[in-house]
Amino acid sequence: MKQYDLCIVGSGAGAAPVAYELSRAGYSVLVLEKGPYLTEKDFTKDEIAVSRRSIYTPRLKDEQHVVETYNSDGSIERVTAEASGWNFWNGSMVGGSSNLMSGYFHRMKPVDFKLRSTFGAIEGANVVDWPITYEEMEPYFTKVERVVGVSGRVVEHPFQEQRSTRDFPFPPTWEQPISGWFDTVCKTLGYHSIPTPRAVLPYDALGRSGCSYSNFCGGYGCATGAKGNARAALLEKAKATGRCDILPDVFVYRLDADRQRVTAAHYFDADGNSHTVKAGTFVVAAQAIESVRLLFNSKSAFHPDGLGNANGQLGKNLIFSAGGSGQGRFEFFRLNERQRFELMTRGAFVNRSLQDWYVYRREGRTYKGGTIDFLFEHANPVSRAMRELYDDDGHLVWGSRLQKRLEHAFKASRVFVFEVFNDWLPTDNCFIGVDEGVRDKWGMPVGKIRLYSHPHDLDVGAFLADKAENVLRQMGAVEIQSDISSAPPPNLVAGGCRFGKDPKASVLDPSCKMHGIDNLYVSDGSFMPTGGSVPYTWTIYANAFRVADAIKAALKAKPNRL
Amino acid sequence: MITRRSLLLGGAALLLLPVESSADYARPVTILKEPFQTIAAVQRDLFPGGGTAPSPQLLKAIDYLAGVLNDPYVDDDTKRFLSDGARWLNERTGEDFGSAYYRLTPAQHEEVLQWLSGTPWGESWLWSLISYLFEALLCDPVYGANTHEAGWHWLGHEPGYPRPKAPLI
Repeated sequence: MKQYDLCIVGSGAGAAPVAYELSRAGYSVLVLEKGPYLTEKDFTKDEIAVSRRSIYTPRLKDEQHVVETYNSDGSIERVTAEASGWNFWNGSMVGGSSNLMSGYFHRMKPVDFKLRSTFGAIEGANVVDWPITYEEMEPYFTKVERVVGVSGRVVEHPFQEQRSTRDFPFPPTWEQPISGWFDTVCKTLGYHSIPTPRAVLPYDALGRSGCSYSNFCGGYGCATGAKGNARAALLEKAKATGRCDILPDVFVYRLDADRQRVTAAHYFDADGNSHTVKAGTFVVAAQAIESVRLLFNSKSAFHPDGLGNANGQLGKNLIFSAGGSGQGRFEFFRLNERQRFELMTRGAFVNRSLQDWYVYRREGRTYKGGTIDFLFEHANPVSRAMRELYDDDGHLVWGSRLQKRLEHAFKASRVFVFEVFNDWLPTDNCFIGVDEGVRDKWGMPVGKIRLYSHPHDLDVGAFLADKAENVLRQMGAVEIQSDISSAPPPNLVAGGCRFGKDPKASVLDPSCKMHGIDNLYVSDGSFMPTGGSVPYTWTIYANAFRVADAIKAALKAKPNRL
Repeated sequence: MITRRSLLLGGAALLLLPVESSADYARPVTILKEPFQTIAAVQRDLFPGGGTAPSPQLLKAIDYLAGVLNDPYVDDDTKRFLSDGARWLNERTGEDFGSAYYRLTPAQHEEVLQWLSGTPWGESWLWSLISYLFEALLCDPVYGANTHEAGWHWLGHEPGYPRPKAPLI
């Protein structure tokens, strides 16, 4: 059996930086990924397969979750994902869900690292400061810009975070003419329009091809390699060192550990055969829910309540990105010919955001706010058509009325949308466990997700949506509406292995090494005690580079003993 | 106005279009067999085509639905519901009109659809039928529907590239 210096469970944004850094530093690395090894040639813009059938996620009859929610009387409603269709999977393939991201890359702000000390306690929420500062993370945000590739343009605005470089290493991608409309309206309103940084290369660089502006980016695998997914940006380069093996189609179901060290990982191959891997250091990065599930399913005589759960913290403080989305419609008959032409430009990105209310005051109180991203509705034609199924009174439409609505939607108007990102406050009522009564196709207990969102999250989200709606109104959109809800976005998940200095209140130490275990790190988004009011991927990438440095330092100080 | 000349030109144009496979996903069905006879009739009412809009027949919407009923990514409950809904519909029209849905007049169809859309199961069934009809209208033709990209042309939709060379399902 080949033995590795490092064994990584998962291959997404939390895993790939560790594989990249450690393999380049001369260590042997094995990456174990449950999904297939897909590359640029495998990705097409096939809406039926990718969006309507979700072929990049497991079928729920094979692998699922149990989801628990609170009824209004406080009782718990329990459903299986198979019965409810509630799908918490993201991207199951080498590179993970970073293959399917839109790549809206905002850095967390300095204030995100110290929410508790800045805003004080919120009743019913477990808000804490991070054990590290923005200044400690900043070099890693910068590294991601350079190594993964982030395009954008720095502009001055009230919440522009400090940077160690003047601007992004790549200029913005090709932008829609409507971005100019947006800038003009924001100037009139006194808002600060921000070019949204994107993990998308505008031209050939970093050994990858530039964006082809296919008009089908978010939710789809990238056919050029322009999108900074973990495989294209990092794992292929790790593999090229000759020291990184990537094993797809294998499911890690258990880690063995003695009192202080993980000794082996067990996995099933595609044929259901079990195998064992030995390594000096182990890294878990299977995305928050599955990482926690693996640690629970790794319980033993030494760790009877699950690996890393000596103090009952494992799985606690699950968070998502709070907020929601909204939209407005631009009608052709209200526009001149030039405006219609500009509106129908396809392929380019809107690339605009507002962060004017990242922190705001209302009624004498200071609130942590968030980010609003603006974009066109997704080009997926079936999902666009589905929006037209009901009339204004909520009645199903068919026949010639339905056909006219489709013609209007596709040929005489265009929908502009916004997405709100604010903090999902961590609470005792939102957590991850396992359900011994429901098993996956390998016979392992599935993850159980208890959902709860703090009322504060909705309050902040509604405030931000109101601001976004006003921008759309001033731009001339009609049929403006927004949906701020407590529904968790499965692709924006974090927490469950909170990092911190106190072992009694956290699972990981500040370097993301598990408290009490010498050779186990968790490097996906599960380390996050709070999420910041931005999409998580950039933070996960940056932190994983930081964890890689910590592992290198630990190995240098005390080489692996296998 | 359709003239003999335009029909001939249309026919000639169709001959020049690339051959599209319908074998991989959409499955040619015997239209007289249930549930397809009933569902095809409902499809014609939900989305009749006409003007510049393609008809369900041109889109091969019923063949596509047969593909859905064999799709491993569509759960068994949904497949059963699609078939059962046709049976339940005909049971109702049998009671009210003494005949299966597809034998009723256009006015009776509208009356039935109005009633159906007001029932929880009926609304859900119609929603499912329309969603798969939209797939037949707007999918890549490699799925054996959206024949000659008729749906895309009608709505001015530009597909993303690269397009699938075969259904990924």
